[in-house]
Amino acid sequence: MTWGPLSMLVALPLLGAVAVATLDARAERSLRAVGVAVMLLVFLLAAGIWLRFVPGTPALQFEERAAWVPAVGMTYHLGVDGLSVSLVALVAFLFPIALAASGEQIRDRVKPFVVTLLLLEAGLLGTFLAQDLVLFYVFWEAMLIPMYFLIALWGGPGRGPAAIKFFLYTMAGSVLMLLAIIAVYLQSGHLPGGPTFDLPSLLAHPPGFAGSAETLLFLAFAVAFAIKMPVWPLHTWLPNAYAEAPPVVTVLLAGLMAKAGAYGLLRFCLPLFPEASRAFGPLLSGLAVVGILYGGAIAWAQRDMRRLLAYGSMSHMGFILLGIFALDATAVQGSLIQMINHGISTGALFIVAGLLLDRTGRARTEEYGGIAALVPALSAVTLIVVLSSLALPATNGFIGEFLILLGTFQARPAAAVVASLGVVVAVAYLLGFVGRVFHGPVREDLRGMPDLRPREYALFVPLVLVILWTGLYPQPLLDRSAATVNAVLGRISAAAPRRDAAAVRPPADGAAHRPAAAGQTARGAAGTGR
Amino acid sequence: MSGTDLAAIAPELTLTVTAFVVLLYDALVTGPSLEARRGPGTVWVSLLGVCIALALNASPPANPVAFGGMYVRDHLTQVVTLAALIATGLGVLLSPVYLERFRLPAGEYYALLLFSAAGAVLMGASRNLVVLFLGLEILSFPLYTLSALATRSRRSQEAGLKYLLLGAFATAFFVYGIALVYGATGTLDLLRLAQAPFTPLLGVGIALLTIGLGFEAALVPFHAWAPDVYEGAPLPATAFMSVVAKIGAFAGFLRVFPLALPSLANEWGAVLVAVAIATMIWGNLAALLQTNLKRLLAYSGIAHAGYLLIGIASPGPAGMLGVLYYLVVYTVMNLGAFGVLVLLERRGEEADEIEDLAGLWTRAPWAAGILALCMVSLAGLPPTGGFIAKLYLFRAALEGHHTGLAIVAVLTSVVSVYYYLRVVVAAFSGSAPDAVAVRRSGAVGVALVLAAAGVLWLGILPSTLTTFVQQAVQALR
Repeated sequence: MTWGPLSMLVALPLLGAVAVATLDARAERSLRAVGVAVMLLVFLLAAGIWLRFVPGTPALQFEERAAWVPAVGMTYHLGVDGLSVSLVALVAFLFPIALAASGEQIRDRVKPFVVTLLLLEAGLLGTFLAQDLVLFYVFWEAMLIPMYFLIALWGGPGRGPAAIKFFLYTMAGSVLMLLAIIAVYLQSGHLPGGPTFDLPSLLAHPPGFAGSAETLLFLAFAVAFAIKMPVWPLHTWLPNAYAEAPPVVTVLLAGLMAKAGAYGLLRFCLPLFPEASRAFGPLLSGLAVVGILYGGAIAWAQRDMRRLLAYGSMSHMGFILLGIFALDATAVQGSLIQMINHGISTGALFIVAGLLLDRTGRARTEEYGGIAALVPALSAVTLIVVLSSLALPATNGFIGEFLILLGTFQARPAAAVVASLGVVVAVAYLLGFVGRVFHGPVREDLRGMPDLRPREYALFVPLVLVILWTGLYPQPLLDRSAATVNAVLGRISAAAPRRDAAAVRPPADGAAHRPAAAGQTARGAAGTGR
Repeated sequence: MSGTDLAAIAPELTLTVTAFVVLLYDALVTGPSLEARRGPGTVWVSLLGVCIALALNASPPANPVAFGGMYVRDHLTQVVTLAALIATGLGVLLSPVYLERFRLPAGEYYALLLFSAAGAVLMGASRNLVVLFLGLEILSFPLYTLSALATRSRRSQEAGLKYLLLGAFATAFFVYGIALVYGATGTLDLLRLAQAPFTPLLGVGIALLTIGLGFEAALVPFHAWAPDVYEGAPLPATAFMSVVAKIGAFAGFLRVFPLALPSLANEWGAVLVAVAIATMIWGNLAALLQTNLKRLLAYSGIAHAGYLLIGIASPGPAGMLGVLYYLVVYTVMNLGAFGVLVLLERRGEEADEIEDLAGLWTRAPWAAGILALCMVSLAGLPPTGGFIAKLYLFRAALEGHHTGLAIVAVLTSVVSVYYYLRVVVAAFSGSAPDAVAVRRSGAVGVALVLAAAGVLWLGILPSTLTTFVQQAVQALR
């Protein structure tokens, strides 16, 4: 049994949860302090892993592998590669911020709250680290349970239905994925060590599914991940869950859990089912475009602050999906960057929404007005976050959306053109939000609203630093993911000769001066972000 | 009967002897009064008996086949015995606080528990239909009596009578089935049955056997007794019966279907699949509507019988592995859930409504946490034993090409999450009602900790039991 840093990463929050559970429930300040301290420790560990990660290889690093249930081919297999290393750091980064921001919102049952949050962190980290299909599923479902309780026990007035809708929706998707996981396992009897759930072993010896079976299995996986992201039209759980959860929980829901869906597509759907991924690429790109515009349009019309941000978040997740199913190295790289950005920016936006709600108790944008004069610091921070969210150059959002649109334009120009309208819509609803809340005539009844407190500055400083750092110098992020992205896309182009590649990848007007698919994947990653 | 025969049945013998010792000890201590006295002597004697039986069960006898081939103590028997003994041990621990509160006769109670467990073990060890029948009767008669043990409670009397009448009816079907099977094949030996050619008469016999076992397992459409009996019986007796009846019934199913009648897999597979689907759907949907926790757990038990039947309907080792693993997991998680309820009391009555749980976490945070864990496990969510058990069963279904069955199973699991989590949310929100008191009991505490540890151990480190169960399955082939 190896006991490396990745196991520590999952075990630390669990141990922290046990430690907090044994503390006195009335000592609320120390409960939070212990929780934040544990999360900061996890962050330090994750940051160390991120820094020591060696770019330029698609291989798993910090790998830990042990027999789990050898009798049925289940392994305890953790590892990070280019797809996951930055996401793991993001998870570890956002959790302490979210817990530290919860001071005003979560006043009762603090002890179970901190315990649940730590369990959620362990589940999320495990989801991004697991390399065995069952182990992944264990973490994937295990993070759902704490999230359900976070919404159902600490949410707003409509929390009960919102939580159960969220849970049933996501679980209905995941149980079908569980069946697909078992089906993949049953197909792997030809492997040297017998059937296995171990993903790298499965990828080393692809099971080779019949065409219709591959389609069904791909769909079972893809639907589970699409619900989590969420992809239009599987998004109907989202507005309720995002709006009813306490804002700090929405930070995690939008900032991190949605990423687990996108990550799942990259980790499992593309490598395991390359042909189906090609075949469904155009359809999913189309859904992504619909999601971008639909989410943006609804957000534009929303007057409830959190619902506005919720639909906006969904619109931005559409870009990530678009980039993934462009099946182009530049676009996938952009999606990975955008996953980090979206986590930071959307997380920060929901923290802002939480601060506004705590201060005034008002949920709707038209109940505010002109507060920029009252809370200059908060409004400055909000503006930075909003600008990063609508992809202003020099912020992180620009890098991500630019790479996605660039790559998609080469692969699916029509989708890229329509999707770029989404950028315009984002400007409309986000600036509309800022305009209605922060500008215009000052509402007299809001005078006396306190500006950022020192503790709240501490929340935003790291967020703004990451926004600017990613916007100005994204190369470390791109370097870390490049090799893995190329490896994943290499599998897909290797599967191409079996089908007519032209049929699934519509020839663009740029096709003539475009290098062959395999060459392009290598070029894309190397040439981006410079 | 020889010495080797007695060595083979040592665990059953231990349970039976302990039951008699408990009865005599209780008679000596309490004298003419029927009610429980202070002093946990009966509990200790029962636990000692269970522990000795566990130790005897750990090592298989030199000569597993006994009584002229009618009885076999192989690996499968060992797993069934393990499950039944865990159920008995936890069941005994849950009881003293309840028996004292409601002044139920302790001696009879523990003796009946032990007898019933011996019956379940015997069903798992049967290689002959008559032994299977004996086991079924030894299992169910104590359960009838346990249901009616609260003589001052009309609910309990009603439950006992209902269980007895319907149970007798189902047993009659079972005996008639045995007669028809004998008429069709000329043998009651399960091994020789495997070689018998299929005839319509044998088919009818098998159908009647299925009804008898299906009643005990509470499969739809033979489930109607379960909610009423569960609701009326004394709470710890309900807890014990909910698991031990399933252990016995599914041990019987395993002995009859995958082992004795593998040739009938095609004919009977389809029927069992249909019954499993109906059971999962009905049990889960009906549980959605319940507000009484005992009834909710009754319908949940029906639904779990449906999941277990997947393993019987899917021929091959994967199904048997799934059933055996599930039985052990079901034992700990169900008794853990019931164990929390035993602690609650509403004005001298059982507190068995969901609303009675409100605010439980403020009064008994650890009990509330264990309740949450057991509910999550019953719902089949990781990282608990319930998930691994369901995983094995789903694998069996897909391996047997019962894709439709697997899809129904996973979708009904999603439905079940709704009512299990509702219970947990109730325990973690609201403020505790004044009428409801939470009892403290060291014995229940020990049982809860053991159950919670079992649920987590079977979910996080399933390797040990899986390997053991797999050996049991392979040894049979």
